[in-house]
Amino acid sequence: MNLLGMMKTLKSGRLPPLGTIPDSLLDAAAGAASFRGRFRKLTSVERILTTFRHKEPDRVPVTPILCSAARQISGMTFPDYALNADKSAQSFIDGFDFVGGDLVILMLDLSVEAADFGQKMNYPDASTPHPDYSQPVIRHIDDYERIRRIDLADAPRMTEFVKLCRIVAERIGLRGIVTGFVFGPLGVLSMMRGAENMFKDCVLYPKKVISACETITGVLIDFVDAQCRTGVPAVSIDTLYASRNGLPKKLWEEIEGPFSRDISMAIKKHGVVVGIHNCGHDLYFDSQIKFMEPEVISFAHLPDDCGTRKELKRRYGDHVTLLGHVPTPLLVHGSPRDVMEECKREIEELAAGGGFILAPGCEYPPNIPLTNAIALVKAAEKFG
Amino acid sequence: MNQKRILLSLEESVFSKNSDEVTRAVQAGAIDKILPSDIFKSLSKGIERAREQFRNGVYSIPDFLLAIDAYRRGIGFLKDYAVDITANNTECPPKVVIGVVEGDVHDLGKNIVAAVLEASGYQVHDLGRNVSSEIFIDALKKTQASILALSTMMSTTLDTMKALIWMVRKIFPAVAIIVGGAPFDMDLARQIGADGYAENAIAAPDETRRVLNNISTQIGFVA
Repeated sequence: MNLLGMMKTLKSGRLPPLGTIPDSLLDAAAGAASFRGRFRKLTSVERILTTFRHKEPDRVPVTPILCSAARQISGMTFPDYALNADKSAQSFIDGFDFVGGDLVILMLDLSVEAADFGQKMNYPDASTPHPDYSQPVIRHIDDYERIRRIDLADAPRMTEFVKLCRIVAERIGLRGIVTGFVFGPLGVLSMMRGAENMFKDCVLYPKKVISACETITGVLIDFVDAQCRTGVPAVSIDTLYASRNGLPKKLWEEIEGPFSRDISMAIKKHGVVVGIHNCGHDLYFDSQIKFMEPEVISFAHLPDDCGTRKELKRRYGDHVTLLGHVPTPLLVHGSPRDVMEECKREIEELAAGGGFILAPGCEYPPNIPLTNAIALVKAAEKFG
Repeated sequence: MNQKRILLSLEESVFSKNSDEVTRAVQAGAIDKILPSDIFKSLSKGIERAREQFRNGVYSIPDFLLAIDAYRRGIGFLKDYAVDITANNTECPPKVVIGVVEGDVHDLGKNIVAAVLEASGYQVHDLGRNVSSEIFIDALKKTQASILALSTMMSTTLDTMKALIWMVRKIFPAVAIIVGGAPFDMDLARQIGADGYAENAIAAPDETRRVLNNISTQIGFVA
């Protein structure tokens, strides 16, 4: 994108795709913002772009990853939040306006894609939607090969999600960075088979699983293409099973690795930033970086090759922006003071030199009060 | 195959995650001459070795799940062959009622913990997933279990779990309660009234033993 095009996009209240801006220009802008940040408050967009370029902004950027928890602000039910883009958009914007933060991660639930592949779902009023595992799409090993490609036009949940991206990207505009979301092909399959069976199938019948991943990835590429066209500056890929909670590293690289690369490349083609979300234990930073080359990794636990946060920062902090990793249990049972103290420790160990966004390790717990989300944002303002 | 070789084969088949080999071993002619308790011990040794590999990071979750399948294949045979597999044991093993609380359908972690506890010598009554509090209470009444193991992977079910723990405390004060799942740490486990918290399947047997001993001491006898 040329300078004129960038100015035009900015003038219309949207961020030009970062991948289309030359690195030298981004570095110069980040350097200037970092310098200005010593004297005055930056905007959320400036703050995040500066940290993406591994320079220190005025303070650490923050996101409370307020997804379904924000529906409490207007008393929305889970089904309304999950199934109606206008309502979920309102919920995300309420969360952004009420609690604050610099980044909005649009994640509804992990069944969006699987539901459109025909997985029967339960939509309880007071809890997250989930598959009806008594009626899995994949009952038998041969069912992997029976999965058929679907058109986004026939995929109501994915279509609503794309609409959600469009509404929130427009309404947040340049007030913050909005990211789309996609569950990786193994994640989608686990919703249609049950994780336990799918893990065993990966070991015993990898070719069948790979064949299903191939079909699903084709649809996921259409899905991220559609998200990127809405104007979201980033899309996050959830590759949960690239962790000790999922497959051994080598097996993940053989099965999901290549497909995760295809999805990542489809996002990058639009100049959109690729993020990874993985809240598993001992996650494989190295493998995921090798295949997806992300700008950002959202994590809950330390990767398998790092024993401490300092080691994590030393090993990965100069080329990936780390997003995390306030523990979910602490958000559930800790006081706001406890949360702020944990945030302070994380900022001290991870924020130097940029490349860090303070956040929970995973989605903010859906049914708890929002006080600890506010504490998290306050901690970035106070200690960042 | 002689008896010793059958027992070794059972242990090795579980350890090497091979359910078909377990079937072959139990179909060997001499199996009916072996004490059920010895068969149980061999299967348990196999799963214990697999757990050790899991603990050391050699086995992944899928590996361990396949070892559990092989172990369960053997236990299934044993249950058909000798209804009370502990008939030759002088001690009655502690009973555990385990399940995923109402509102949650994620049972992967619970399934692994149930198998590990069974292999560690507990008599496990697995109620499955999305289990109502009434069913947990009924099961404790019927089985006279000394341990209740509750699992959830979601934070939305914590209130349900807390209420269930409160009820169990009132009705069965001698029952030790252990919890596990993604939203927990030890502090949260204590806060909702549990006696113990198992971070994963590796920690589950030791933590179960610890809470059982604690509660036994509190009420004046040693299990």
